[in-house]
Amino acid sequence: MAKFIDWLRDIDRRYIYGLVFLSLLLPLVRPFGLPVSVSKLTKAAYDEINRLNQGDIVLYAMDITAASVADDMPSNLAYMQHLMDKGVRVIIVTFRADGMKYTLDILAKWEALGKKYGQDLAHLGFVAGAESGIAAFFSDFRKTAPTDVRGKQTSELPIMKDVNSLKDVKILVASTAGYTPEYVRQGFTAYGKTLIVCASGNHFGTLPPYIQAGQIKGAIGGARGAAEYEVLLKKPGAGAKLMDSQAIGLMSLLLVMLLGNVVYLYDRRRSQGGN
Amino acid sequence: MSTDIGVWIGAIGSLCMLSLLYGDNPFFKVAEHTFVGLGAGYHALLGFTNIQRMAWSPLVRGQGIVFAVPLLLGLLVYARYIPKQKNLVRIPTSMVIAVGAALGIRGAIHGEFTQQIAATMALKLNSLNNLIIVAGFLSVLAYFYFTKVSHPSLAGAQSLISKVGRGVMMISFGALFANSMTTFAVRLIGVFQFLFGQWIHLIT
Repeated sequence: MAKFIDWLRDIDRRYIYGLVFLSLLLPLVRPFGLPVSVSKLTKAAYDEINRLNQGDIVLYAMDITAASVADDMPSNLAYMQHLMDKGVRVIIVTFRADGMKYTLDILAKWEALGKKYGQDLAHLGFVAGAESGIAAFFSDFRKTAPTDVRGKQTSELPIMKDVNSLKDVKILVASTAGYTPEYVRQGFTAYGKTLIVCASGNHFGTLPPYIQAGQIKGAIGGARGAAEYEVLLKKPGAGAKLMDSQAIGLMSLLLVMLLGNVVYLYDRRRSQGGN
Repeated sequence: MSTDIGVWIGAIGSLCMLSLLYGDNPFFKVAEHTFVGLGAGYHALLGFTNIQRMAWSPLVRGQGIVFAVPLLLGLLVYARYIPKQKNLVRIPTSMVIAVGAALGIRGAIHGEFTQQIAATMALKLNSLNNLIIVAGFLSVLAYFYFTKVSHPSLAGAQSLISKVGRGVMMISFGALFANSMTTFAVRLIGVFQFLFGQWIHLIT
């Protein structure tokens, strides 16, 4: 036992990196399709979007950060898939500078699939100023973003007819790259607007107080939430592809943590004079 | 393998970044500095186009003199480089702080204070979940109640509840850490998808 503990203690950390790398990579190369169960929150988000009618307009605050794109993109794609399938019209805006490219990728995808820019969806670009920018935009879309990402006058876009503030859209969908409290304060609290969220996994843990208070009606968290949403849509996509790899990778991390704690407890006991 | 030069640059950059796991090396340093430079350049360009789109263009199109205000305030930020006028930088700085604070307070008191407390008070103690929420809420509050109760028997109870509160917080931090771990795993998977999918086409 002592020899094994000594070997564990002295193991080169690069072997641990290798183990984690392999456990993440192998399921990507050869997926085996672990089952994905759907949480209540994901179902709640699905039901809210499912209640929308064809032609309804939603505001989609699509904040994707370059660092967490692998986690954020699948959930945004899942929401967009549902909205587009329902024939809902979407106004996109982003309050994160570094995620602009990814929002344009999503826009391009749906345009390639036949959705008409300006009619079915529009992108009003990046609005700076964090919470001040969010508040200004929610109160007046046209003044805060006078032109869209293509340089067209926002007021001239067909989708913007009769729409100029958060009051005029059906619901607010927000991909919150850390901006959840801002959307709750400026969207739900200021306008009483139904708020549906998708958040990166590391921010998802901060949502429960808002969900429990009814301020956020439904939410999906990172790639895992996206995989759940894809189950509801019956269209496996970017999220489902990651699940095997994530599950096996995390199991390897748990194993490493467990072994680390065994070494720690063994050493502590030995230093206290135990056997 | 990909024939796209952009994919190759991205792949080599990713490998250079990952090389830090082996140890600090010049390839990592080059990639790190390139990344910081590109990020700064990208944000500068985005900032410039944003000013052009949201203030300069409306101003020159005659949509209102009000669009000159953000431009003027923006220019005042550079007053710090003029020794005799450097106090002018306080105007845009104080405006940003004041507007941010005002907006934050407007929503924070109602959205993050009264609504949250009201929702917890309205909970019916008819499920284990609700019991945990209420007990957790009260015990964490007790942990931050620093005044000691004078009666010895009550002081013991206060100490016990406060310890429960500390436990509840530790569990919350653990859950947050676990969420972060899942996110970091997915980010790494994203890099692998790029390297082994888009670059060398090992993953379909």
